[in-house]
Order: sequence, then C-alpha cells, then structure tokens
Amino acid sequence: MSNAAPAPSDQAIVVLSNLVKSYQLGQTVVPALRGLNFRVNRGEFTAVIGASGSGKSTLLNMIGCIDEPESGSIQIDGIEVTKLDDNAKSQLRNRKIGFIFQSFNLIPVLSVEENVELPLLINADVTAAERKERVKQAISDVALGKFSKNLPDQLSGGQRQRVAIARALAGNPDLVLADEPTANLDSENSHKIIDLMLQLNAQRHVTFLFSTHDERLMDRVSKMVHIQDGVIRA
Amino acid sequence: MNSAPFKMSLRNLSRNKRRNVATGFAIALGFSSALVLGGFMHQAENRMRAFTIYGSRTGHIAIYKKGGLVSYEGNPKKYSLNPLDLAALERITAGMSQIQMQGPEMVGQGLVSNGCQSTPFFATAIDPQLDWKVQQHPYNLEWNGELVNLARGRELWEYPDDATVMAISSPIASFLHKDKPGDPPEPSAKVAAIDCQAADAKDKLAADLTVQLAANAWNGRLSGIDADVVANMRTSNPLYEGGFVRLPFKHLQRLYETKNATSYSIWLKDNDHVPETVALIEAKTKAAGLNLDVYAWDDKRLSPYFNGTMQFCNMLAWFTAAILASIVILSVFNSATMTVIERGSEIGMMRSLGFTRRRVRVLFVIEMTMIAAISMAAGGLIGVVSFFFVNRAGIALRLPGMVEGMTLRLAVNPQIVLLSATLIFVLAIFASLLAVWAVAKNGIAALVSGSHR
Repeated sequence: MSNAAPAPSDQAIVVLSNLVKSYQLGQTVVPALRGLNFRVNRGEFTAVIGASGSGKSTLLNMIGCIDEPESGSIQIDGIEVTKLDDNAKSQLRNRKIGFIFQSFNLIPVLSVEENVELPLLINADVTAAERKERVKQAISDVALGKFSKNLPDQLSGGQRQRVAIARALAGNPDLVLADEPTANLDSENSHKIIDLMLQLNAQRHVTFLFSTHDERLMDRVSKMVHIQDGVIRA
Repeated sequence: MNSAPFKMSLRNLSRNKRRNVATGFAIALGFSSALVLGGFMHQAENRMRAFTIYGSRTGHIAIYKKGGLVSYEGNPKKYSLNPLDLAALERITAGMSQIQMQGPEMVGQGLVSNGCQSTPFFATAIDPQLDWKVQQHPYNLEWNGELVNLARGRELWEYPDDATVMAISSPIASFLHKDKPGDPPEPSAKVAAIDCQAADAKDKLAADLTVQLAANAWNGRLSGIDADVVANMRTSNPLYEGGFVRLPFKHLQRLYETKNATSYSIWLKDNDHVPETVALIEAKTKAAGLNLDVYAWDDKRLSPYFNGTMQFCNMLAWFTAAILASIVILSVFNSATMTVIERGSEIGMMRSLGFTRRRVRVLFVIEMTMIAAISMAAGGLIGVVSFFFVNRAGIALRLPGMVEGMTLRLAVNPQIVLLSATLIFVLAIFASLLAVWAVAKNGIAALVSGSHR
C-alpha cells in the first residue's frame, strides 16, 4: 500500500485523505500524521504496525472520531466526519464504531452484562428486548456466558478484554477499532484475543482495524499496514 | 435512558467511600448549620416583631397627626390627635374585619418625685383594659412572654379604671425607693409627712407608694398629679430603661390637661395584611378629610430600633450563610474535581461509546444528587437534634440593644428549611457540575489515555 490518496469506493468503510495532526509537547511541536492517506474496505481484518510514536494510536483516534485532525478528510461509511458537530460524532461512534482499548476500560461497578449493555442504553433505536438479546449474544460470542453477572475485578485480564470486545460488538458496528488490544496480555491470551477477533470478523463480517507492535501476532493477520513517521509505508 | 444511570450512580457511591463521606459530611453540616442559623433568625425576628407590635404597644399600624411622629415632642398640642380625629378614626376602623383591637396612646415627659428626690420620666399610656388584651395576645405570649412580666407588683389592668396607679421602671424605682410596690392604700388612710433627712427616711419612702408627677400641661401651666406605684417593670429597651413609666391613658391625659392623644394604635388579627390595611386606612382617612400619617409597624421612621436590630442580625446571618455556602461549594467542588479527574479515562471511554458531554455530566450530577440527598437527610437529623439540645439547654440570649436577657429558643420555620435545602442542594449540584464541566470538555483521546490530568 502506498501513501497515494485512495480512490472512493463503495467497498470503503474508512477513507482518509491528506490527514495532518501534530501535538504540542511543551515548546515543541511534534508531528504525528503528515498528510496520511489510507483506506479500509468493509470486512477487512487489518493490523496497523509501527514503532512506538509512529502515529498508530493517533491514526485510530482520528478514524474513531475521538480526536480531530488539523487538516485533511476523514470519511466513515461515506460520511465526512470532520464536518460533524460533537453530538453528531457521538451518535456516529455509537452506531457505527466499536472500541477496544489497551487497558480494557470497563466500569468497575457494573457487571459484565451491564458493561456490554452500556453503548446500547443510549441508542434509542434499540428496544429493551432487543438490547437484552444483543447483550446475551455478544457475551455468548466471547464465551463469557458463565460470567455475565461478575464484576470486572472478578475476571482475568484476558476475560476483561473479551468483555471489552463484547461491548464493542453489542452495538452491531460497521467498524471495530482496537488500540493495542493485546498489550496488557500474556502471549497465550494475546493469541486467544486475536483468534477471537478473527473469528468474529469471519462470522459477523465486521471490519476490524487494530494497532499492535507485537511481532508474534503479525503472521495471524491477513492484511498489515506499516506506519512510520506519520505516513503509511508501502 | 432507563434506570441504568441511577443504578450506576448509586454503585459509584461505594467508590472513594472516604471522599464521598467527607463531601456528604460537609453538605450535612452546611445544611444543619443553615437550619440552626435559620432557627435563630426566625426566633429573633419573631421576638423583635412581638416586642415592637405588642410589647412596645406600637400596634401593627400607628396613626399620627400629619408630621406628629417627628414634631409631637416640640409642639404636642398642634401635633396630637384631637377628640374629633379620634372619633373619626373609631368610625373609619369600626367596620374593618381585619382589625382585632385599637385605641389611643399618649406619651409625654416630666418629673417624678417621692417628695425627697426627683428624676425625669418618659411616660407611655394606653387604656389598661386594652393593654391587657395586647399583652395577653397569644403571639406576644409566645415570643415575648419572658419580657411582659413585671419585675415586681401587679399590672395596671388589675385595678379599677379610676385608680391612680402607675408602673415605673426598676431603675427609677430603686432611685425613688419605690421598689416594694403593693396595692394602693384606702383613700381614707392618713398620710404622714416624711422627713427626708431622717435616718429612717428610706424605709418610710419605701412604705409609701405615692409619687408625684409634674409636667408642663399643654395649656402652658405647670401641672401635677399623684399616683401610687403598683409595679416595677422591665422595659427591655436601654433607651427608656432609666426613666420609663407607664400610666393609664386617662391619668396621663389628666397630667397634661388635654383630651388629645399622641397617636392611635391598631392591632390586626394577623401579621400578614399590614401593607394593604395601611393603604386602606390611608385612603379612608384622606376621604374623610383627616390630615393624618399612617405608619406600618415596621416603617423605619416609626420603628428604628426594630429595623436597626434586624438589619444587624440579618447582616450577620447573611455573612454566616455566605461562609457556609462557600464551605459547601469548595468542599463539593474539590471532591468532585478529584473524582472526575480520577475517572477521566472512564469518561473518555463513555464518550467513545457515544455518550455526549451532556449525558456524561448528567451521570455525575445524578451521583452528586444522591450524595446531596442522603447528606441533607442526615443534616436535617443533625439540625433536629441540635434544636432539641439547644432549646433544652436554656441558653441565655440578649439581642443587640436589649436590656433583659431571654432564653434562646430555636424555632423551625418551614420557609427557611425549604430555602436552605434548595440553596444547599443547588450549590452542591452546581459545584459538581462545574467540576465535571471542565473535565468533560477535554478531548476524548486525552481522556482515554489519561493525559488530561
């Protein structure tokens, strides 16, 4: 894949064009993305790899509409998100994107099923019955049915990340973004999580885009993009 | 949204228990202190109101000749109400259902003597039977009960209308050796002259109840009357304490050789309709061609003592309330800020799931609402216990300017309770909203990564 601007496509779920983002660190301006172009097609299972500080997380934050670029275009499912206001972005995240974080980010006072239910509570299109069904299905998909009433503190790291995956999938998103989802897991659990994501990608045809710098996982993915100094390398 | 936010907020209370308890304690103490302060102010205002309207015999409404309030002392004949004025006022007020009682009042000055020594006096006088009704009014007994009692002797209304009796303040009584008041002797009893230089003069003066009152009559002549001291009294007011005497209205009229009155006092059935009644009487007196001034009891010109004292008390109360409010705001804001910053990545996660800033703020406000509600229930309980113990302790209280002390009695005022509860509640919510507002404004990526701290 080159850094050339991608052509629009019906198959594209993510299209980024000339994306620029930098951060202020004290007196220093640190460029994170330097005119990045990138496209992800529907149903793909893509790993973004790169060294620490290469711009992986920034790239995922931009796609997830949780950070804003200085310039450039971000299209999610054909919607130009840089022109949306905060509430519209919130709705887009809720309906189209699922997030999996490195440190799981579960709410400690909520049980597994309550954590998974969280994004559905603010989706007015989902009825209470449908919500229950979706939560049950998502928990079942990550094989945590026995633990649905448990609190996050009562689960292992791998189980917690599975809860996070279930939460990301409960809303039936078009795209799941995972920022270093295996960084806090041991080797065995890392493989299990990647296997689970692959399995869900195959079963649900959900697009997965995740960042990692774990070389052991790289042979498990079908598509890899390499980011270096804020641009995609071939 | 369903009950999930409430469930989540309720469970979140178990996080940072110590901090939440400290926050709740600040709110509870703030609320209970506001209740106690409100209870104090409620009793202070009621005591002062009862003292002014009933204790000082001002009435809810006082009517003077035009300019009489200021100029009466210099020219009482010109600035007093004549019998025609008084008769007209009786006619005008006769059919007014809101009026409970009414009557003329007279004030004046002169010298009072025991035959050996003299001292200036300041006298007030109303009809003793009217005075009985005024002083025995339930509102007066409730709030001013400790001050209406005489120091010694019996009240003027216990004697026949034509009895030449009077009550004098304790300092005059002590000066004139009339501090052992009793019933007046039979008119036929012989009165022996007292040698003022004799060794037993003080005892003889004390045994003789009679004093002489001398004053300039309104017709310009020097006038004098005798009166028997049947009571020593407490005025509660330092302005008058040294020379205050009280006589039946007709007796004081006789001293000044007039049929006029200084003013006309009206007591209403309740304290709630004073301004409209003042306006009505003003209109009626004007229509009747009377040249009068009509004052409400709390008019600054009529009751400078009440207004000055309450202004002072209110200033202290508001100052204290401001300190209490600041403590509550700072405590809640401090605690809420720490909580919100600690849970920044949680906020970021919720935002990434699609929660708007408003929804996130609502979640934290619900949480603070729960803390505030629980704390205020506890604060209310602390307030009730404080009221019980303070009222039981019998703490002596002397309001500014009062000569006599009273017993502190905190009184619940539903309006103050409601106002305090609303204010503390709103302040707590506002402080928590202020804290979450700032943090929720951060970028989601910064919140999730924890770089917002």
